This record gives sequence, structure tokens and C-alpha cells, in this order.
Amino acid sequence: MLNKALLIEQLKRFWAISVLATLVYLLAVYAPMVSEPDAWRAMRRLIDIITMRNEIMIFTLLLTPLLAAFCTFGFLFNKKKATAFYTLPISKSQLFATNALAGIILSLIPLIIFSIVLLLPLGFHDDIAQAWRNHALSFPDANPINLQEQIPATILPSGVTEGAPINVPSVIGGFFLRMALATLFYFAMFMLAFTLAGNGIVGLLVAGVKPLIPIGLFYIVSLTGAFFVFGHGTGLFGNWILASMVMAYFNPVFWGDVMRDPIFFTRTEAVIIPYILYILMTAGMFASGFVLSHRRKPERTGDSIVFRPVKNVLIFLVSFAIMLIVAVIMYSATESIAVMYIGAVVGFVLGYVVAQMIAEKSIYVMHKMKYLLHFGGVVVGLYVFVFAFTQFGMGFYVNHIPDRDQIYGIRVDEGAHRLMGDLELRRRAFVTDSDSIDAAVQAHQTILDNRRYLHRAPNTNLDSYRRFVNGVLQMRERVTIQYMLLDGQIITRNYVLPISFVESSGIYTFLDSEARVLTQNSLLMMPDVLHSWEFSFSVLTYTIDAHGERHWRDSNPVRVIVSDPEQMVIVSDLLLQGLVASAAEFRTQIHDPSIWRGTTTSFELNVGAWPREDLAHQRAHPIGSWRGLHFGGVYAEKLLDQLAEWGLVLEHDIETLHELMNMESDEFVFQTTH
Amino acid sequence: MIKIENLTKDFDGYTALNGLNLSVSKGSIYGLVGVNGAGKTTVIKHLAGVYRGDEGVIQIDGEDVYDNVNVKSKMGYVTDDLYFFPQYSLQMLGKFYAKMYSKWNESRFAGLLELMELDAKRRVGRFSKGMQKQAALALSLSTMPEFLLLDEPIDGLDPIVRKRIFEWIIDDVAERKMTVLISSHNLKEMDGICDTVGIIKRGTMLIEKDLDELKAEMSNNPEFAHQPPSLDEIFIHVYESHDLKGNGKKVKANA
Repeated sequence: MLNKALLIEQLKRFWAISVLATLVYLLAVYAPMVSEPDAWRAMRRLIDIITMRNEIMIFTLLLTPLLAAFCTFGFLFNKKKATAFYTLPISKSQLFATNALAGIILSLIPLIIFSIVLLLPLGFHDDIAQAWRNHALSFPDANPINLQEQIPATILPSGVTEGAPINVPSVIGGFFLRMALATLFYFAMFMLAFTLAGNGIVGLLVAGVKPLIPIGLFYIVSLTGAFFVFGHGTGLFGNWILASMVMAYFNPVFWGDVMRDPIFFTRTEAVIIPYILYILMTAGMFASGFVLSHRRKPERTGDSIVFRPVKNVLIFLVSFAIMLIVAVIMYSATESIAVMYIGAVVGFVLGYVVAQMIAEKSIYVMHKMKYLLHFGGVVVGLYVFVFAFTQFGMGFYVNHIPDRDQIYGIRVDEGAHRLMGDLELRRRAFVTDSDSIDAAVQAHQTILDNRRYLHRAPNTNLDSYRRFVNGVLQMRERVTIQYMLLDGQIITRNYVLPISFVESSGIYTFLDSEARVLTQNSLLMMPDVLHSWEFSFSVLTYTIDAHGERHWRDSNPVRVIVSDPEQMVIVSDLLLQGLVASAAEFRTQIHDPSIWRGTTTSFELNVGAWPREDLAHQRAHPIGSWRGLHFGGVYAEKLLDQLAEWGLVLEHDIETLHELMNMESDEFVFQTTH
Repeated sequence: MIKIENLTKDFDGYTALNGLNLSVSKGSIYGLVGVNGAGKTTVIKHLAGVYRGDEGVIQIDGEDVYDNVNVKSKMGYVTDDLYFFPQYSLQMLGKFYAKMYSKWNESRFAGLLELMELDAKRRVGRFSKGMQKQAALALSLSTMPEFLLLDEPIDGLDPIVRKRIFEWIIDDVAERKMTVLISSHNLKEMDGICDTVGIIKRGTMLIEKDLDELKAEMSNNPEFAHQPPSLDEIFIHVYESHDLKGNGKKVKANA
């Protein structure tokens, strides 16, 4: 299967790739870490490396297999070279396998050297090892809450002891396996792109477009769902968690995004599934490359794409993508469905012309315009199919409320965090009392009963619900209803509803309920998983200008940590009361359109919840930290008073905050200026 | 023996080869002649295993050529469009060929380089076109091929080099019964060394015959100024008469 002589020759010819990549890894990634005088920062760099978030490393991870594939399979782009390689006394199978192995070796050698060097003990201090165990690092120079770093529970070394180096073989071994798999993935991807392409430029274009196809398809489905199916979409770019999963699952450079975030992704989602997917996709791409390299016709060398069906598919995809982009831009600018369709037609023709120019390597493509109708016909057919599917298939499913008997619990809105841990934790994030479930079902039914009216309301399915259109403020409420069924299945429905409907239908009483507050802030239902509450009090000045642009200014925060179990219970209760009471207060305020223009000054409370330190518990329930809960008003003041009573906040700090507020307004409520 | 039967090849609607037949006996030198675009290079690329025919049979010593390692290891191929690994000297290429071809003959390679006065340590990319062609030929001949395919081997070479190249080829044919197929525009040169010629036009073999027999056949034709006629004259005669046949004007031509 392999030809040893050619393998050695290819390695001799292109050794510089490995040397270059090794130098980059060592000088631009490793050296800055070990030369970092601050241990915390060095630690942060190490975490970035291990979790594949170091930009230079990721760039090198992509560039090395790209260069290796371009060099070992570059003969495919040149007739002279192709002839020379095909006349060597080896079979096409040997030629493919040998070049592939040469490219893999060239790509992996730098990684092996880098990983070995990473094993050298870095001598971090005890407190850092401790922080590692707690899965979180705070950086003194950063905003204490918003920039805290997550250390993924998913790739923790087992049995780290105080003061021990964390770059142990198991951690670095895991790092190497992930990087090696990503390298193989990209090598296979580039190799396949080059096998499809007839010249280097198109090869690079194909390689660049390929990883975007899955996320493109995801957004196409999301977009069409949002347009056609009431209750389906979370809006154009709403479901970022799912989007980031799709992105990461088809592009290992984004692996770090899911691996590093134990709040949203479990170990299975962040590590196991990507491993399996990458292995399968890599194997699939190598197999495809092998088959296609046999079918590739050398006489087509120099063409854009050497396989005609693939060429047509790519022309279609490029046309389709440009069609969507133009349609979305036109719709966003005018919010008119008719203009969107015109944009789609113009975009498709434009995309087709551009795609043909690339395919034909010429600006003279008039003779290809006769096929435009064929491609356009496919689009229309696809549109009819999608329309029918969404209306008669998906629509029925989406607009179906589960049987009451099968509902275990409900959530209103996906909340500040999505508990992706085990089923037990997921169940605890749902409100299970009968009244709340009945209220949810009733509210859902009310929405569905009015869907004809609601569906016709402009822009109801798009994810923009407070903005100025032609100088008029349009307000919509986004409502997410989630049902957990007895079998653990979670069903999610998203609606963007006009405020007028929310007010007139009585749904707001349901939306302001304790159930919503609890499910938006699920940790209030499970204090046992928490180690501490962390509060940050500040004064926020927020301005929305005449164009709807938002600006804000935040004062230096006063930070308080509550870790006493009894005090935590009281704090949780205060938070719940405050949130429930302020929900209605907040709604009353936001229904006054005047506050959405001008400046408001508010007393801001930023809440963080830190999980228990117990490592075993953390691994079982990787919920990580909880961030980003913002609200202002008198309940923040009550909480501040309580904390002051316990001596956790200095009187001086409270006075400073009050002074700041007084500089902007007289009391701790929303103030609007025009 | 090289055999092509009914070979057809279509390039995106353009028929490059149309039911072509060709036969080269073992130990002979076959001259494949035709005007530009007649299909000579396409035929040779099929024989070298680069192209795969749409229809027809291509065999060497009874084995199908395409993707056949055994056949390729017995074949030398010197194309008009040469490629060498960049940065490689002849010495480095010789080492690579030695590992790739089991019959590689190092002493022959050294001898040929000496004869050609080529610097083995100099990068081949720095050689002139003629020197590169000699280098390619030296590499090919040192693999001790049983079949040698030469596509325009003497194009752009000076007469001395041309003479040398043909001498080496003829020696190999005589000593090892090597079978050679040469395509060339230079019919005078071919006239001197080929046993058999095949004249192709638009992908079809017009005539394929032992050169001496062909000349004997044509020598009775009063149209030719020289007797026996040269390959040049025969080639033009065959091409033109085929044209006229195609146009239904043979009678006029004879008149």
C-alpha cells in the first residue's frame, strides 16, 4: 500500500514545514508562557494551550496540515507534475497512501515535539493547583465577575494534589490526542479539497468553504424555520448554543469553545461526541479522498473542479449562499417580505454569475447563463419542499402541546444558564407544581389560538424585539416555553409576541410568575450545589440614542462574597422575592416606550454563584459558575442592607454608591431623560 | 509488444482519439507522426498510464497498462514537458530513481552523464532545455526499460545531441531488444531510425506500416520527386490524399 522510497523522498523534500511549525509552537506559544513572570498569567496561557484557545497555536494547527497537504498533493494542480507522479512505478493507491502518510507525518512531528516540551514541569504554586481543582481562576486585573476563567471539568487531570504540576502526562496526553485528531481532520479536509479541485486557488477556496457548509445549513434551517413555522425559531442568530455546537462539531478549531464551557456542555457533549465525530469525519474524508483520487482524470488538471457533479453542487451552493445573504440584508433593511424575495432573486443571479466565473476561471460566462434556469428551478423546487415541509410537517409538530399527563415540569425562558448535566440536575431546573404547569399550558394554548393573527404580525419570528423601525419603537416579548416530559425529553417552543398581545391576552400574569423567575435562575432551586454567592454592586448609566444605539457607563463595583450556608439561604430567599416583585415592576416600566429613549441611571446588582468545591461533585454536576444576572431597584438595596448588617459590606462603600447615584438622580429607580 | 485497439478518448465533447489502433513489435522503433493536435501526445499518455481511454484496449506484453505497477516499472517515458523535483540535482534524482526502479543501473547512469557531459551535482532546474532532456533520457535509460516512450524527444536539441541520443537508443534496442515508440515532428530524423511508422490524424490511424515496405510501395508512385520517397513526402502524400478522400475529391487529385 505504501511506497517507502517516495515516502522518504517526500519527507526529505518538505521537512521545512515541520521545522517551521515546531519553531512557531516553541517560540511563539511555549516561550511566552514560560517567560511569563506572573504565575497566574502563565497558568492562563497554559489553560489556553490545553483547551486549544491559543490563537497562534490554532493558526499553526490549521496552517501546518494545509501546507503539508498542498505540498504532498500539489502535483494534482500541475499537468507536468501530475504526469511525472502518475508515471512512477507505483499504483494510484500507493501514490495516495504514501502522500497522505507523508503529509500526516510532516504535520504531526511539530505537535509531538511541542507536547513533549509541554511535559516539562512548570512549577506552578499551591494556590494555582488549588484553583485548578476548583475549576475557576480569577485574574486580579480583570473585572472580578465577568472575566473569570472557566477551567473545563471535562479535561481535568485526576488526582491533582496541592502544589503538583498540572501539566502531567494525562493532561498533556489528552491535549496531544485532541490536537493530533484536529490535525488529521484538517489534513484530510485539505487533501479532499485539493483532490476535488483542479488548481491551487480553487482548492484553497473549496477548503475554506467546506467547514462553513454545516453551519450554513444550520442557519438555513434556522432561518426558514423562523420564517415559516410559528414557534419554531429562536430568531436568526438566537440559538447560539446550538450554533456553537454545530460550529465546533464540524470544525475542531472551535473545539475549545465547547470543551472549556462546563456550564453549557457536558463532558459527553464537549469531548466524547467531538472525538467520535472527528474520527468518523476524518475517516470519511480520507476514504472519499482515496476513492476520488482514483477517479480523478489527470486531463482535467487546471480546471476549477475536476468532477463535474461536484462543480455543479458548488456553483449551486455559492449561488444559494449569496442569495440568502442578499435576501437577509434586504429584509433587515426594509422588513418587507416582498423586498426579501426580490433580494433573493437578485442575490441568486449575482451568486450564479460569480460562481460560474470562479468555475470557468473567466469573466466571460454569458454562455453559461442558459443553465441559470436549471439552477433556479432547483432553488424553487427546494423552496416549495421546505415550505410544504415546514407548513404541513414541522408546523403540525411544533404547534402541538404535549399531553398534560406526560408533562413532568415546565420552564419559562431558557434562563441564565442551561443545565446540561445529568437528568437529576435537569429535572431540578424545572418547576413541577401543577398550577405552574397548568398556567404554562394555558398560556401556550392562548398563543396557539391566536397564531393566525400573531403569525401575520410583522417580524414576529425574528429575534429583535425592542428596536426603532422608521422612528417608531416596536416592542415584542420573547417567550420560551419548555416542557420536560416524564421520559426526560425536553420540548422547547419560542415565540416573539407583540407587547399588545401579551398585555391583552393576560399572558403577562404567567410571565411574571415565580415559575418564570425560578426557571430563569435555576440555581435558586438548588442551593445545595452552590459554594458561594458573589455580588457586585455598582451604578449603571444607560443611554439609548435617537437611532436606537445603546451606550452605558458602569461605576467601580463593590464586591461581596457570601459563603456561610445559613446566610446563603437568606440571600437566596431575598433574591427570589426581589426578582418576583421586580418582574412586574420592570414590566410596567418597559411598557412605557419613553424609557427606551434617553438615559437611565440605575443601581445595578450583578450576581454570581459559584459551585461547590467538591471535585467529585463537580465532575458529576459540571455546572461551573453562574454569571450575568443583572437587575436594579429597591431589592438590590434591601440585599445591600442585609449584607451590611452581617458586616460583609463596609458603610463607606454603601455611602460611595449612594453618592454616585445622587450624582445622576435622586433615588434608586429608573430615571429617564430625553 | 505494445498494442492499442479501438482506443477512443473524448475531452469534454472534443474527440481526441477515435477508434485508434496501433501495434509495436518487440525490439522495434516505432515512429508516431502527425500534425499538431493529431493526438500523438494523447496516445503516449495512454500508453504511459496517465490517461484512461473511454473505450478500447491498451496492452503491453498482454497486460492492461492503466494503473499497472508491473508495466510501469518496465517503462521509460520522456515527455516534451519535463518535470524534476525542484532543488534536486541529477545525483539526488539518481538516488531516488534507484529506490523506485528495481533494475536501476548506476554504472550506466554514471556513464551516460559522462557522455552527456552533465554535472551530476548541479540542480537540474538550472540546466538548459536541451540538457534537461538529456538528463531525463539518462534517468530513463538507466532504469533499463523494456519499453521507451519518447514524446518529441529531440525538439529544440542541437544536431550533435540529437545524434547522440539516437545512438544510445539504437544501441539499447540492439543490445536489449528494447521497444521504442517515438513521436516527433522531425520526420527526417525519424526516417533514419524508425522501423515502423504510424501516421495519425484527428485521433485516427491513417496508416501503419514497416517503413521500408511503405517506401517500396510508394516508390512506384510518379508523384514523388525522389525515389524512394522520403518520410516527409510520404507523410504529406498520405495526409493530403486522406483529406481529399474525406472531401470526395480523390479523382481530381489523381487527375
